[in-house]
Amino acid sequence: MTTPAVQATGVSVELGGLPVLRGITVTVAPGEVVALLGGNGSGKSTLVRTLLGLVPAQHGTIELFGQSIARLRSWARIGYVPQRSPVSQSGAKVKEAVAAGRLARRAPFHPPRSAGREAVARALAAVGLTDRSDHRLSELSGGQQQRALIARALVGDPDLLVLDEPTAGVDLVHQQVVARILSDLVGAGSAVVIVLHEVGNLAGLIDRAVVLREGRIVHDGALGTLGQAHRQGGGHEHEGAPDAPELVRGPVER
Amino acid sequence: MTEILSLPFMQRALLAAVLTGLIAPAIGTYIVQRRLSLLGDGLGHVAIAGVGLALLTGQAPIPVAVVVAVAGAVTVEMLRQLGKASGDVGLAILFYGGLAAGVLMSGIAGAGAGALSQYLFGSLVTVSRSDLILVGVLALVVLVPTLGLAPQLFAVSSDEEFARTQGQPVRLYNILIVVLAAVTVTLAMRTVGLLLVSALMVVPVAAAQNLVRGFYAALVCAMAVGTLVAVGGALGSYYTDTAPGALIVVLAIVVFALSWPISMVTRRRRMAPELPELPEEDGGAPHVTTEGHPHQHGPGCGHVGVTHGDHTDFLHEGHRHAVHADHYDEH
Repeated sequence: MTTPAVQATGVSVELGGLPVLRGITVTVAPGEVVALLGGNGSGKSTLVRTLLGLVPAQHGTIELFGQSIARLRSWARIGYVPQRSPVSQSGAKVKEAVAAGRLARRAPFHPPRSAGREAVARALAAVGLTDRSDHRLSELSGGQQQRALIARALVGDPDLLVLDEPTAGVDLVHQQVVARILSDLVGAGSAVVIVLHEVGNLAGLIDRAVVLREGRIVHDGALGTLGQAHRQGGGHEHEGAPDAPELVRGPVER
Repeated sequence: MTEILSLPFMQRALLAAVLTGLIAPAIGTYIVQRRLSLLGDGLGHVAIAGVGLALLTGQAPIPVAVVVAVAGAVTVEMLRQLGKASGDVGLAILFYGGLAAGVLMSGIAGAGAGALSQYLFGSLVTVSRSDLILVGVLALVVLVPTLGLAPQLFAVSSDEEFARTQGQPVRLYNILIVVLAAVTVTLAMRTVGLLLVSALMVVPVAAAQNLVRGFYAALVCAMAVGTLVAVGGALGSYYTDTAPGALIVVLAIVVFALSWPISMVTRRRRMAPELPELPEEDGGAPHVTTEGHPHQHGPGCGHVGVTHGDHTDFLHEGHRHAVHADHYDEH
């Protein structure tokens, strides 16, 4: 049996005395694409941040690739794409910000290796920002900055990619780039955990949807008919993409 | 000019100025990234307590001040990591307590506030040979990690959470940054002085960010600007018979002021014009199909193609047609 990429058992988190996550148990297998859905304040962002050890869990255990998050050594296998990053205000060049994604593979006091520079160039090409690599991050549009953050996560060749709303408030071109990157990664056998406000054009990639409501999992299974309606041939969705409220209400009322 | 350089105390002062000018902006780069621009000022206040203690006990001021400032820096960082430094009141008490304790102890030692002023604003004639050796050693202690660990410290100071997901010892690096800042503050007290050292940590960095693009370029540029103004200020203060710290900081601010219009020009040029991107899908468009459409749209059919999401629409008498299975949709 293969070791799951993510194994969270009975995870509870309180922030400022308020319960944000209550007894979350979730598993992500290698090569699986799991979407975390739910309305605002449902705890989906907190869940991914807890899975990565950025928010301490009061109860429960979290293992990534079979190692406890507190003693994790294989950080190089993990790529994280936050919603926003303060690095965009740092004056750093795009390629400098992206290179930070190789740090888990780099020992202190060692000069950069050519493999690292090549990986940065590859990651920038994958997100279509090659011609922007010497620009300041702050000179890029919102969607381009988001793509640079994806490149930063890709540059370490992760076996688990965690994305926090990578398609929120960005243009369609960018959404397509995200969809293409994800399908490439999944083809290479990586696991993906993606927080989404709406499924949009990523529906076809998602193996499983985990829907959160008030810090509890209310649905864990196929995306089902919600995201697949009216999608064949060369057309796209016209019925209205399933948005969060619909998804959250659906399973609860069943 | 050669006449000044032949004066031993000036040689020592200029060497100290070069070292300070190199180091203060180097560590300052990370301090600015972490938005702690005023930390250096506070640590300078704490170091004054160290100077007072040295005067009181008859020790050499620099080593005592280093120990006291480092202890203060670690305290500040631990408070911040424990989430208790939201009490910036606590920081204020620490900083002003340090200043008051320094003045008090130097008064009790019989040196008075006047003896402190050479540490507050710098003094060229006071750099002794043993001071210079100590400053040189400490400069090395600061420079090796600020340059050798640049990628790590950049990652930690520009995006702490992401650095954590790269397995970086974030806490350790954060403590390292403030400890190195404390060391820098104390070794700068002979040249710029404890009250103005923070300016040399911040202003050249701000100027460099206007002048060049990118983190590493700004780091090197800030060190160059820092060295230039430190040496210029030390030389100038000899001629004008003023405290070197004041002149160094005024020069740094002049460089920053000059860098401002330069950044305006280059930034405008660098901002490449962007093609307007298609508006975001609202996802709520009703599904309207065309009634009987004999014409087969395709590349080169005469209708202008427009990329729309994952397919191509064809401009068709003022509206758009999209291929959908065996029919066309109105868009």
